[in-house]
Amino acid sequence: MVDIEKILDEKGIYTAKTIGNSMEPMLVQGRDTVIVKKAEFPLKKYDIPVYKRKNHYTMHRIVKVTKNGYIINGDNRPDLEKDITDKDIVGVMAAAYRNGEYMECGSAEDIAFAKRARRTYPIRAFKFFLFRVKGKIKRLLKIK
Amino acid sequence: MKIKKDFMLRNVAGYYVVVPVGDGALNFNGVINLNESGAFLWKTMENDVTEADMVAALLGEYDVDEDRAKADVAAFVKKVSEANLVEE
Repeated sequence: MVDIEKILDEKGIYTAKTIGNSMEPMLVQGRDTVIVKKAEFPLKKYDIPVYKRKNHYTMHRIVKVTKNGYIINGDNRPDLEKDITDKDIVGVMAAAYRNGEYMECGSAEDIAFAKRARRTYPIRAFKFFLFRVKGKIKRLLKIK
Repeated sequence: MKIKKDFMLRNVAGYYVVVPVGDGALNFNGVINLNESGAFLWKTMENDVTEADMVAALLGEYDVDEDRAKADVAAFVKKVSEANLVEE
């Protein structure tokens, strides 16, 4: 695994193609590149930190800052990650090339994506809830 | 020779950084930072140039002697060529 922390310490900046669909429609795998810089704490709502979780890196958006840390949600994810703290965070997204166009974090375009993701979160969460209920029912029926 | 269109130079958070953006950059790993004069040479290579063109540009922009400019351009071209960022 690439040691992003080490690269940020040595170079100040890290760039990579994105993997996965958790930040769609803003970031699309195989198309877009992100530029990550060292984080300056505390981070704020709508920042997009890179943090370590179960020994791999994730890059999702802060949707709430609490006294215990941050509540984080991928723009295309139905679940919230709670109590991520500064010590889990190795860097923060500074900018991206989306479809060949440069976009800075905190720009009007980025914030529009953030707000859209917040508006659509209840739908994603509800679909996820139904999916889990369906799974539970299936398991119960199998047991019986 | 010129820089491949799959790579862009950006100044982000005070760093000049080479950003892989195109399909040809999919296998690009690592981070390349440039200093001020490196960024200047990169910009000259966004067009099709020779090393002599780059030396002339460097002499026009910076207060350096020709030997130093030639050495700096050669070192820069070597660096970006080894990183496979250049097309002939």
